[in-house]
Formats: sequence, C-alpha cells, structure tokens
Amino acid sequence: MRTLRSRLALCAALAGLLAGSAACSSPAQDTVTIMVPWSGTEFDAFYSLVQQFQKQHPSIKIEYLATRAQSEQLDAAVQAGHPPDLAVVPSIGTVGEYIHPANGRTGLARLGGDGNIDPSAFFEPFRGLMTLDGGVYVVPIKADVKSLIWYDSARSAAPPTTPDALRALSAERSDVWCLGLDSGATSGWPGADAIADLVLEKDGADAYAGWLSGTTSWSSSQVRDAWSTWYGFIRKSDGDQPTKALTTPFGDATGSMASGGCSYAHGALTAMGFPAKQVADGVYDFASPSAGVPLQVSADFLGMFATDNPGAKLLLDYLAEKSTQQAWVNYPGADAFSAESAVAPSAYPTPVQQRIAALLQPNAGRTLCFSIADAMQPNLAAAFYQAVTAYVAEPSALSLTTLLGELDRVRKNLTTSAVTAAVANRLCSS
Amino acid sequence: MRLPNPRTAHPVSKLRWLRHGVLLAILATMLLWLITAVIAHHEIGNTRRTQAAIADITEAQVAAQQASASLKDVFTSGGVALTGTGNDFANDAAQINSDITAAAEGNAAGNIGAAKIQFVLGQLETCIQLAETDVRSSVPAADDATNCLAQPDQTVGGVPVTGTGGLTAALADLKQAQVAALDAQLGSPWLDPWLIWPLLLAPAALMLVFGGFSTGILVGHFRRRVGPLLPTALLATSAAAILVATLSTLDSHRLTANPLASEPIIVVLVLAALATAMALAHFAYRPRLAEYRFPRS
Repeated sequence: MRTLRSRLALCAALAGLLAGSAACSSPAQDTVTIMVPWSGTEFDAFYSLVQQFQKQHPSIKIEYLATRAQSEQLDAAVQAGHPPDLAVVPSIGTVGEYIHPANGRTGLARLGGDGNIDPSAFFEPFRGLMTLDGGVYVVPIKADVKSLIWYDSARSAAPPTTPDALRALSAERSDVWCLGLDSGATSGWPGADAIADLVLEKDGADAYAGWLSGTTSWSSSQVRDAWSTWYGFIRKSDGDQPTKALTTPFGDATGSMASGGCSYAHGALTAMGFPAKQVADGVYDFASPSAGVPLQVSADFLGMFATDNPGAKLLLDYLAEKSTQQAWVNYPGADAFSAESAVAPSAYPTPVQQRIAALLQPNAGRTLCFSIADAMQPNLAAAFYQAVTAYVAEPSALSLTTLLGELDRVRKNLTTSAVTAAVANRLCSS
Repeated sequence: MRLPNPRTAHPVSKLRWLRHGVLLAILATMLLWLITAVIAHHEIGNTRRTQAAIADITEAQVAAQQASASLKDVFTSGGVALTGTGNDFANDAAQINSDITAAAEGNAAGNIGAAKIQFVLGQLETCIQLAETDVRSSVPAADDATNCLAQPDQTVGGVPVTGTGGLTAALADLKQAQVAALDAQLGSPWLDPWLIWPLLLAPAALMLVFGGFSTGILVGHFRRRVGPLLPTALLATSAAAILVATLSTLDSHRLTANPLASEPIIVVLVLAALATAMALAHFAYRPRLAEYRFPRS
C-alpha cells in the first residue's frame, strides 16, 4: 500500500509540473475584424462611433478592412475561409451566396435569435430585405436616397424634375451636369443609378423589379430608352463627348458647381462631396422626383460571419441600436440617414437632411425602390458599371445594342437563385 | 498520503522519504529539461517561421513600390495600348503574390493575420484589375491602379487608421501584425533565461536541502558521515542542469534551426549524467535503509 501511495505521489507531482507548463501559454485577445466600403468623411463618422463603442468595451480591439472593392475582397475572404467577423455586404443580391458559401466555408450567421435585431424597427423596403432564406442575416446600418438632383441655390434655379424638361435643358447648354464616374473598382455606378431612376420614372416599380428578376430584359425598350435618355442628358450640346467624366472621381464632380462650371448633379447627398457647413446653411439644395414617381433608395447592410466572437455581436448590436443611429446621422458632414423608424426626421441636424429623411417615412406616400445595382449579383452589377463607362467612352447606337446584349448574356450565365427572386419581390414598397 | 511526523518518525523512515525526495528531484530535473527543450524547440521554430514571413512581407513591400513605379512608367512612356501593363508590372505583381503566399505559411498573428493576408491578396487582385481597366479605358491614366497600390492609410485626427489604405499600406499593416506576433513569441517564458535558470536549478537546490537533512540524520542518529555517492549525485545533477540552462540561454538568443539544448550528443550526455546521479543517490542511502527493515502496514 505504501508503495502504491508513493507512486501516486510521484504521478501527482509530475502532473502538477506539466499543468504548470501548460499554464504558461498566453490568453487569446478579443479582436473584431470589420470590412467596410467607406472612405473620407463616411469612414470618419463610422470610426467615431466605433471609438465610442471601444470606450464602453475597452477589452475589444477593432481591426478595420476598408476597401472600395468590397465585392471582390469579401468573396475572396469567404472562399479562402478567412472572412472578417463583420462585413458590410457589397450587394443584397449576394446575401444568399454568403449564407451558404461553397465548399462548406463559414457563412453569414443568423441574427435576431436573441431579440436584439428586430426587423419591425426598420422601414420598408429595408425591412423586407433583411429577412432572407427564412431568417434575419443582415441589418441596415445606413440608408440613403439616390433619386435627388442637387444644385447651388444661389446660382441656379431648382431643376425641372421630368426627363423631357431635363433633356431640353441639357440640349441648350453644354455644362448642365456635374458628372464623375471614376470610383476605382466600381467606376460607372453614378451612371447606373441615374439610368435606374429613369426606368423608375418612365416605367414604374413593376418594370423595375422585373429588370432585376429577368422579366424585363436589358435589351428591352424600357431599359434601352433609359440609357439613351441618360446619355442625352450628359452629352455636350456642342457635340463633345463627356469622356472627362470617366477620369473625374464621383466625389469631385460637384467641385465646379460653386463657380458655375456645372449646374446639377444626380445622386445621394453622401456622393456629392459638398462641404458640411454649406449643406447645413442650405447653400446646396435638392429636387426630388414629382409625387407618384418611385424613389430609388439604398442601404449598407451589415452581416456577421463570426460564430464564436461575442465582441462581433456586441458591435453589430451597437451599430444597429437607436442611439448609435442617431449619433451617426448627427455626425457633421457624414450626411447619413437611418433606416430605423425610431430616428424621426426632426432628429436630423439640418433642414436638408430632415427633408430627405421625411421622404423615407411611410407616411410620405412615396414608393421606395431599393437600388437595383445594389440588389444584383456582383458580376452583373460590375458588368453594368463597366457598360456605363464603355458607353460613355463610345456612345454609338451600335455600341449600346452590343452592350445591352452582352448584359443580357451575363445575366443568362448567372444562376438566378431563390434569394434573387425573393429580393425582386421585395425591391419596392409603397 | 500521510507524511511521517518529523518529531515521532523513525530516522530510517525519514531517510527513506529523503531518498524519495532526492530521486524525485533528479527526475524533475530530467523532466523539466525535456519540457523546456521540446517547447523551446517548438517556440524557436515558430519565431523562425515568423521571421521568414516578415522577410517575405518586406520583399512584397519592395515589389509593390516597384509595381507602382513600373505602372507609372508604362503610362508616361506612351504606347500603353500596345504594351498593356507591361512585363515589369506583371513580374512585380507575381512577386508580391508569391511573397504573400509564402508569408501565409509563417503567419503568427492567428485569425487576424489570416484575415489581413487575405485582404492584401484581395488588394493585389483589385490593383491588377484596375491596372488592366486603366489600360483599356479610352482615356488611359494609371490613377486608379496607382491609388490602389500606393494610397496611404486614412487619417482621423492626424492619426492613420490601419486597414484603410492601398496595397502598400495594407502590407505595412500586415508586417506590423506579424512583428507584434514575433515580439510576443520572443517574450515567451520558455525562451526567457530568467525562467529557464531557476526552473532547471530548482530541483538541484531542493536536492541540496534533502542532502543536508540526510547528513543531519546520519550524523545525529547513526554517527556516520555521508559517503561520496550523494555529493557526486548532486554534482552530476547540478552540472547537467547548468549545462542545459546555459545552452537554452544561448539557443534563445541565437534562434537557430537546431537548438544546442536538444542536440543528440547533449541529450545523451545529460541523460547519462542524470541516470548516473539517480543510481548514485539510490546507493548512497542503501546501507542505512538495508540495516533496518520494517514490516509493511
């Protein structure tokens, strides 16, 4: 018995020694990686919010991965099995692929199980787009209205809001539009948004949704007319091609508006690059399409790939909560809008923002349609943008026919998932 | 387990426990040496891989700068429609890809490092695509591609925010992450002489204490002196511990692929010394313990 006890004592001593060795390993650090598409003031606003989050959670370190090539970067990261913990999804049309990525890689985590993310807190059409494949996988953390025409109220009268009047105006002068199409990997999107607005204006929400689902082809008269009309706007009356727009960054396009170099710019406030103070003072104003014409809206949806990182869920919940959304829209120069119904128009800091926010309200009586390029599968959206720049570079009728035919072929080669069909059904809401 | 009461236990029982203690101390020296040698070998291997990864990233940084310069040359020298992005740019891009792929094997920054490596590879792919788009565009300019390659990190309040710039900035961020991971590896307690020396010499010190008590019992109760076997065992154990602690300290500074502390000749020498020490210790206590045998309870 004594021998046995001695042996047990020896074993216990050795086990203690090994346990002591194991205890020398260092503890894991709580870090959250987040991929976002923002730069400039948009990023500054987001960064300031995350700084506040880190003050509340000093043990959580945030690693930023900021890129304009969001689609390519996120696709590659998911395929490689190293997705960021959180990511703004590049397109609502890709959510289906990110829920069930190929080769069993880590996909988007289902949100809302713990009740922190409640879709009913958001406006339509954002609310409907949050729920895909039977669950909530993404949350809109930032919204925008794209169907706006901006002008310097001290230099120009409010622009007409019908395509015919705009075309007539464009024919009179060669410098009506402030246009920049350069946006790195996504160059061309400002033109794509304008073309989408023209489809909405002339053919309405049904044709617009059909354009996404495939019932309205790219070569259809509706889409073709929108392209021609748009080029009619930007074409110089003196016959020069607007190729300068190809090398003008979208944020710099309005730079000459104050000096009278151009008069009107189409798009969301965030894309205009106006100085914050002048927006607050009402120097720059906007006109929206007449009542009854659907408005094109967009949002940045945040999804979570992390499955075992509580810090990531905390950050996602924080970015979606009302107080954060309120702080975001209040950030000077961010020109952000919230998709949350709890953030009322009166809570926005400037009259211009209040008027835009009011357009998003259900009681505004407007039909809101989600940006079609942001709902397409990324390959098709990229082809759309590329076609815009190619058309501006060579705007012959033959070129347009070829381009639209190629876009039809790109769509045919893509597998239209059930999620895409579901997105098309929820693209517009009135 | 019940230890003998020092006041009432028979001196022979005390000697028996002291012999166990001495043998255990020698065994502990052997185990601690094996543990430190194995873990330190592993840690040194990791640090060497991280150092290689950092060297690869540094080469990729140089290649990224060259790629940016090559692209500018292509666009400024004319004929871009015929030459495309050019061989130099293609070679530089391939070099970056190869360096980062190699660096991924030595990634010491865990999931964060893997995400950053993936981000860099994505940046590279984007820059290549933008360069090709710039070449195809009707108004050729390398602005998008060179921005993609060389744009610095965005600053907020004058402070750059990592992960917000172009490829070169992303490479610098990746390198910083690997350097931080290397610092953590070099700070490992298994490479720290301040831990290794006390850890390896503690059993020998304990053995010295047990030897002192044994001497006291032998002199006080048996009127005998301690023979040469026990001091020799202590000397052999201490010598082995000092040897491996010295070699481990050298290894932690040199970080060579084949650490001295686990060289075969050292392994044989240390094992032989410790095995000899155990045998000597065993025989050092044997005469007194053999004189008194108690029935087992």
